Amino acid sequence: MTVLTRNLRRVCDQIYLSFCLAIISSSLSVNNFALILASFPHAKMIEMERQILQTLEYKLTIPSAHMFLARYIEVDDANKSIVQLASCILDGTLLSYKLLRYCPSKLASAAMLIARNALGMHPWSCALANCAQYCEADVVIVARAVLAEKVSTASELTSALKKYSRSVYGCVANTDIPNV
Amino acid sequence: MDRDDVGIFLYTGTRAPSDIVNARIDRSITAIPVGAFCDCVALESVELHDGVMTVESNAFNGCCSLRRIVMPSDNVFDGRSFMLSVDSSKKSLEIQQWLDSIRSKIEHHTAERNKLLREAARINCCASIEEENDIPFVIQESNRSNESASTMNSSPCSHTQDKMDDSDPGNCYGEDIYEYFRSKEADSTVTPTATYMDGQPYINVSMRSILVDWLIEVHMKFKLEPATLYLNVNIVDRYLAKATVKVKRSQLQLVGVTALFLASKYEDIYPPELKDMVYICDSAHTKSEASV
Repeated sequence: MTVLTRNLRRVCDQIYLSFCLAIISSSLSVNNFALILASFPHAKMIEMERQILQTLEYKLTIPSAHMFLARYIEVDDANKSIVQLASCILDGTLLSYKLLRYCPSKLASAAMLIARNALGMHPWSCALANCAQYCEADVVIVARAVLAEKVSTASELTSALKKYSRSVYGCVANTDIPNV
Repeated sequence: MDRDDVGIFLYTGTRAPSDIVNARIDRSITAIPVGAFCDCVALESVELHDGVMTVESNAFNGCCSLRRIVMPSDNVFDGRSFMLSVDSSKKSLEIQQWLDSIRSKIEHHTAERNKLLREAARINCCASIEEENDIPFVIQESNRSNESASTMNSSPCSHTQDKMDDSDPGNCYGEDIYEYFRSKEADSTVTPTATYMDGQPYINVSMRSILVDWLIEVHMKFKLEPATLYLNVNIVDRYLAKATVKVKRSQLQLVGVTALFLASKYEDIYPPELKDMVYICDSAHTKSEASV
């Protein structure tokens, strides 16, 4: 089945190529040419890139949750295991559509709180509260939502788990995470 | 808020109009809030009274004509209160003397002074003043600074700044960068209710999860920066929320991989090439088709 599909695609590509050559030689309209070109994966991607850029009005870079986490780690003077566990939890939040309603800085502080709690430290330090300007009670609400989403994530979505099971990340994916 | 007979504007709490020339702070005011005299370009003189305990950051931002500040001795100022307020050419003798007096106070407390200078490095707008070897507009009365840090909360991360290494100038911007990001994050995320999926009939929540899961895997394979992944997912979400076209199920992967392509160009030093992206899409396609 796989071989057949692959061959079929190759044949299709060939046909497109000859089509294109035919169009060039007979100098058909440019629109048609673009249409056929758009069937190629490269051209599709470039077209999609153009669409995305236009839709977002070229406003691409954003303060992401990762940047907030980096700041919290710096302020908290966190050790390696907290950094790894918090990154693992924060990566997990990307999978959830429901968690989009929380702003990135809240998600990052929740990841920090969960990681600190799991490693037996006081969940929310004074330094973090000062920097993030969120009190512990606020962050706990978000942290509970994050943990609830983590539990309900479909079991076949294992990329984040795989990533953080590697020794580079200290195998933090297997850490037991208690409720907050 | 009123102008009295001699043309002095009496500040009573609301934001000052931009055309005032002389201002006096009402006795009822104990703290001048953020932006109180912001961009009062004509403002030449301000008279504080000894009840004014705090001048918040950017209170006198952009007051380019300000020449004279009458103030009692033990007020507490935030480092950014007078940011951009005086440029060196217009600086009058009075301000010069004022600065000198503050400098002499500060020199008695070397440790405090170091802290202030570090603070001053954050305010690069004061560079012209630093050139003249003045102490920039960072006035935090040394004898009060300990209690002010704890009671007035004027610098929320003061204790972390103490920890910072003087040799790394990048560190001192951290707090400002954080504040800027916080002010920006509301615009840069999808709507707080996150209901864009309702406007996209061909895709659903679990497809988004599968896509993100696949993107994490690709991201890991290409060994990209962590920031790329977050930007990537954000671009996908914002595109799906804003796009006028309805994204078809078969197109979702294309959106995802193109967002990855864009994000890696922004965040990575060596972004993957277009052909690598096409390759990774292609193999995933055949794999998913085979599994169906």
